[in-house]
Amino acid sequence: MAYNSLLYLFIFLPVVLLAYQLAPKNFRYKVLLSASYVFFLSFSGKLLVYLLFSTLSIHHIGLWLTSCKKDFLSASHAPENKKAEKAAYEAKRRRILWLGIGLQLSILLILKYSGFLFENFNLVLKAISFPRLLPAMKFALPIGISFYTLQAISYLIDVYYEKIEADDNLGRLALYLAFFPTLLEGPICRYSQTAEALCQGKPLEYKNVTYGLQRMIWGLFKKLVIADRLNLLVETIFDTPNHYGGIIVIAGAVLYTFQLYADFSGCIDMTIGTGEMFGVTIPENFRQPFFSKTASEFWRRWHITLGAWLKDYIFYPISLTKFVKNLGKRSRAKFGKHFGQILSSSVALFGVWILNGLWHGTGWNYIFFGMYYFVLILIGNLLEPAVERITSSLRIDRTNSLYRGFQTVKLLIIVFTGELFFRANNLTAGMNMFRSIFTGFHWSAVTDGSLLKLGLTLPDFIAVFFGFIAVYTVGVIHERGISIRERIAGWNVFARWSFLYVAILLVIVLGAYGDGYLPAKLIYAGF
Amino acid sequence: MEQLLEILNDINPSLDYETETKLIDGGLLDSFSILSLIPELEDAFGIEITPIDMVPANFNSTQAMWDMIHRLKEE
Amino acid sequence: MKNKNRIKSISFLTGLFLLLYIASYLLIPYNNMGDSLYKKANGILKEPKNTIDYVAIGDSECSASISPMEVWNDYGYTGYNCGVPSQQLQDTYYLLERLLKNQHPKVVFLETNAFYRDFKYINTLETSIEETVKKIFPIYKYHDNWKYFHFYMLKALGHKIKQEQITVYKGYQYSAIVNPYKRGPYVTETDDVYVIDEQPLLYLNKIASLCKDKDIQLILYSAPSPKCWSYAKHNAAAAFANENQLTYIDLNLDIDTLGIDWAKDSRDDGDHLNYFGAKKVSDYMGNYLSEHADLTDHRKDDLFAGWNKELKNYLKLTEQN
Repeated sequence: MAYNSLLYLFIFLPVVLLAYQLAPKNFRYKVLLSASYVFFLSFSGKLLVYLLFSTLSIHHIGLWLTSCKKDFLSASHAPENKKAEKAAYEAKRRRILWLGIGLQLSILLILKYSGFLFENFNLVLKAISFPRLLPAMKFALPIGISFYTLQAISYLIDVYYEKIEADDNLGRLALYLAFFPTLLEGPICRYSQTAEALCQGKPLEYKNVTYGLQRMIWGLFKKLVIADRLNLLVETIFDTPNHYGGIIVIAGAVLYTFQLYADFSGCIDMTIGTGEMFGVTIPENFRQPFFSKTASEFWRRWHITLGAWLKDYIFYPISLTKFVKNLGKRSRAKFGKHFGQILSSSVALFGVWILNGLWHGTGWNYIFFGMYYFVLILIGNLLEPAVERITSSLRIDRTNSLYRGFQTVKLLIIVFTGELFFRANNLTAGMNMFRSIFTGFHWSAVTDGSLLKLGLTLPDFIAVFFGFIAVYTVGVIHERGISIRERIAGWNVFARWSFLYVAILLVIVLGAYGDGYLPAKLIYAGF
Repeated sequence: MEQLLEILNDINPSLDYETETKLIDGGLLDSFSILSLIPELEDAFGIEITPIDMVPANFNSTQAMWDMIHRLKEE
Repeated sequence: MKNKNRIKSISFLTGLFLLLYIASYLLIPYNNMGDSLYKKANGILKEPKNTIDYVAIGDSECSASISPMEVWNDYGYTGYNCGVPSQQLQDTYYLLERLLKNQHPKVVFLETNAFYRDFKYINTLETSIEETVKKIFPIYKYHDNWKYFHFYMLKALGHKIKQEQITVYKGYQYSAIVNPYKRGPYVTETDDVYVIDEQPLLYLNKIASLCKDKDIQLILYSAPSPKCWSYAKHNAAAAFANENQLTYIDLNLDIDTLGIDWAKDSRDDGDHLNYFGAKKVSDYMGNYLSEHADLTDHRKDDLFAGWNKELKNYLKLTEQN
């Protein structure tokens, strides 16, 4: 029951909206919770036990952290023992936190990563001709585990840092983890962002529902018109990697990037739109990433909630450990302020990017993907003063449009290359494809019609191009800080309705679904 | 306060620290700048900044940073 | 305020429905080319009563592997391929039940690939909703026709939709695309037995007993497919055949006799056969029928003149490539 299925759009969601509205105010969050579990069951059935385990464990451990603090504060401390007692108390809280995180992570590790670990471990065993191999294991993954596990961990850490209070309402916590629009592809919400709104039981409002619907139509447009239509071509190129080279592979990387953006951001539009209908503000996950200037800015505007999660729970904590701080002191003394700082924080940066790669899946190509960005961002930071010097001595205005154009082209090449490896079936295939760009490059591929032999016909390309124009235009408008829905709301009825009718018709007619199309899965739901 | 402004200007001289209230939320200071700021603050004011303090609210304006420094000094 | 919003919503939706209804007319095809998955399979319902000797059912592995026109050409047996891409076994059962109302074949070939398709009730629900929407708003079904839109369609508007009889080659899904399978031998013997899910097993039993009741010989067969087939699956189908005293022809074990050449005979890296592979399988199956089933050669029978006419089209199609 993906968000773009008829079952979700025309049966599930209307029924939940109706049930929500009819239910008494303080019963409404239970409607949402039941709906979320039905939604979960429709994908993963019995695997619900894993989600329930995560929910119960963070509920219990959150409360434990709180009661631990209460005990400490209420106990009387003799002044001479105070320091030791405080240290013991802090150590205890740390142990509880690690227990909680360990529980969440071990489920994820076993279900998602054990197969990969064992497989590679077996390669080692084989290499040293060890007589026995580990059993090949493959577990069924519950839907959304990569997303809700991160939410669960962020809840525990936030409680530990006392940014939020531990929640004694199990239902609210359960709903925070499992709210159905965020279950498939995130965004990764923080407890402080959504939990309260989810449970306040606000009645449906006309404006929220219509705005939410509009947002969903836009998401459907991106998913059905662009992502699903490109799917055929992308699959052809990436699943038979040895058949193509040169321009075809470049087209594959470019169009896959576009497909991924349309698919993921389209799904997030549907998520945020659904949340909006219930009066819940779900955090944005994209902010026109392709208008970025650098790779690190790109990652602050693409899959924002993952980047923010890694920054808050990996980057800063590692950077502020004693070890890294001392390292920083020494390296600053040795290499100067700028380089020293970068060198010491590269430890944390490495942690962020290896985890970013691994989070997406267990393949060497994902690890490569993470390391690729680690190296690029590190280089970007190291070179920054030099670039600054060169541009100012050459009197290049870094805000002029020519320089911006150069930055955009550079960024796009970086992103397309990264996504080529990201999508490749494995690292070797990715390497071969990358090489074949140069070895198999012929301009004739543009003119001899090879692009039309990849599963898409000319009308398909026209539809995709039209979709591109639409996405680009919307991006430019948002970049100027204009809210399109507010604008539309200001039009008269005739203009507004015509616009919406045309939008809906375009989705229905130009969407790549039904006979002749294989149903395309939501890409990020697989991570 | 003077000392704080000096440190901030050292990190990125192009910002108006006296009036800006969205240094983090507005994306004016990135995580690298914040990280280079921290050892400076720790040395200058004799405080220890821990992950708990790493919230945008503590770094959005000079005043917010000043308040944080004072709070940490008291602890 | 509330009432105003309610009126607004209702009139917006009414307008939308009207629009969808009108738009549906623009995109309804003026002929039935490129119609739905069941188009080919449903063709059997239009065949004259009791004229079909044998039927092949299953998923796309079925529809791509047996070409009834080849069997007709060589042996004069009338057959129909009712394979439907990614069909669930329960739908295979319903299709069989429906076609048996009009036909009484002596032999039913059941392709085994759908035995191993995992089943979820939610998928059935989603399919049935889709079918309903297609009925209410034809635009949902025919939306893709904007690609072929031209002004002739506007002219045809208002005329009754022509029900052109198009040649479907008795349900065979013709494809002459060659995408070789290159990973070498794929048959490695094992004692593992694939466990057929409860739900497909239920319908497998239903299909078996339906054929028994109607006195039809049910033959299980596995089309050559390195991508879908495995020895463990073979063992599962063989065990089922054994229990129910059915014949099981596993073509994967007989690649050499068939003469399948994976460099030429697959259309998608060893998932499905193309025309060249299907020709070999059809010859094999025709030969099997002539040896093991008591069927009549209808080639000289005037009642079956239509078959010879279709054969001409079919030969034209296949020899062009």
